[in-house]
Amino acid sequence: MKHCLIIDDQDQKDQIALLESESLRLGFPITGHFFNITEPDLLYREIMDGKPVDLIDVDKVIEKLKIKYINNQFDLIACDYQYDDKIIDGLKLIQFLKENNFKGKKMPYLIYSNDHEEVKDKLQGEVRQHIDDKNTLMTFLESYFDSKPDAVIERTSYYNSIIEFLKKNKTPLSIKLDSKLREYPEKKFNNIFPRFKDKTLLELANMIQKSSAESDDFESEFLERSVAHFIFLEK
Amino acid sequence: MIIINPSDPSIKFLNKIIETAKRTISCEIDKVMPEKYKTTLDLINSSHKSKTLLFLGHGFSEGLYGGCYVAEGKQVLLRKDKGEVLFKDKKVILFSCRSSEFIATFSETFEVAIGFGDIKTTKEDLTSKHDKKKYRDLNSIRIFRESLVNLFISSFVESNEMNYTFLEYYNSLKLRINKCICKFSLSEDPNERLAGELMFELKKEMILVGNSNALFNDSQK
Repeated sequence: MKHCLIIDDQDQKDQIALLESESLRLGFPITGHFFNITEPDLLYREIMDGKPVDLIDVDKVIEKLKIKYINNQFDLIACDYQYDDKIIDGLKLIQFLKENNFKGKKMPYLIYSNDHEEVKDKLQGEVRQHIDDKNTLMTFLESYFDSKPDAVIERTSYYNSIIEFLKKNKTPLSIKLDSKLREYPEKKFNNIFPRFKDKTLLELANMIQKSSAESDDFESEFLERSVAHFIFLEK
Repeated sequence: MIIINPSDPSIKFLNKIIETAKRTISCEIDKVMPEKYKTTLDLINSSHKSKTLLFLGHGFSEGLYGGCYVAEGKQVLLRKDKGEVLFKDKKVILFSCRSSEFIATFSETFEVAIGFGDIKTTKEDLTSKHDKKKYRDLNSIRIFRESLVNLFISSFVESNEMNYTFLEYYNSLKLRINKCICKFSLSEDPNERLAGELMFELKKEMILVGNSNALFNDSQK
């Protein structure tokens, strides 16, 4: 079972229903989770051109996302490109979520839009700016996916593209482990690895999400023991 | 293979490895006595590079111990300076305490080498206050020791039969250690769980350096 978070300012109930039924029909079940980015508690008011305007407060967005989905891990996050907001668009939102390490560095992001060609042009334009500059090209490319989506897709029937993307791109093992640990958040680790004894599985999942040397150590040990467990050895 | 085994009552439990080796592998056993260190050192020095040297005895971060006189305690067999000459381009397994640190000080010398961290198999190996308290019921040490010897033998025999490389032997040993940790982690016996922790520590400090594709054993029986 895969999990996809969809961030939009319009209700996506129909698309989520299609995503779930079509993926189920294909034998590749995906559950959709919807987050409305323009809920009243996520907005702040400013005067623009003499008129009061409601704008998205990205700090509140990240705070709410972290609280609401503390026990969830996703295989993909899909964001709309255009919101009813004069400042924030899907690209800026993804950059912000990545900078704040929401659900880990390996989390893939998709952006969907009616103007998906325009979004692609915008992203390609940024690449073109650096293409002839030997001094900045490598640095630019190395950090490109730290702030950009993994793919840009057309809004119409975008649920199909989500299915295709998830079928083609396997979920990294660390995300799967993170997700599994969050299924039992309050249970405590009590296996032989003294450093992590008595930590809750939620604490371990959060550690994996932050991706440190410590989590690397834990993941390696987890894999080694799992493999050993699966192997039968003659005496 | 050449097995170097110091004469020391505290490592009697390793005899099981030697007995198995005699039955399954073409090997020469050198019983190290303090009064004949020269013979042992000459044997190491003259051994062919294709032969694996297996040291079964006590060690420390700066060297290896030979035999033991009751009155005088453990006697040093060799330190780094001699090791650099004697182990030059040799295939070596040092099944002794803190041999990983010892090997690390001149790792480029060996053709290939496997070393270990603290192997807490006797009361004397419990040096810190914390360990003395934690393992005061020596049953956990006994369980650890027996399991370690058994899995060492299993991987030893397997590596010989399957004509393994050092890497394959090292992986086989690690797999058995992991299986042992898995087994002990499910045990309700606190001593078995403690033995599992000792096994975990051992695994974390194991090292393999050099040409890992070198053959574990040159000549099979």
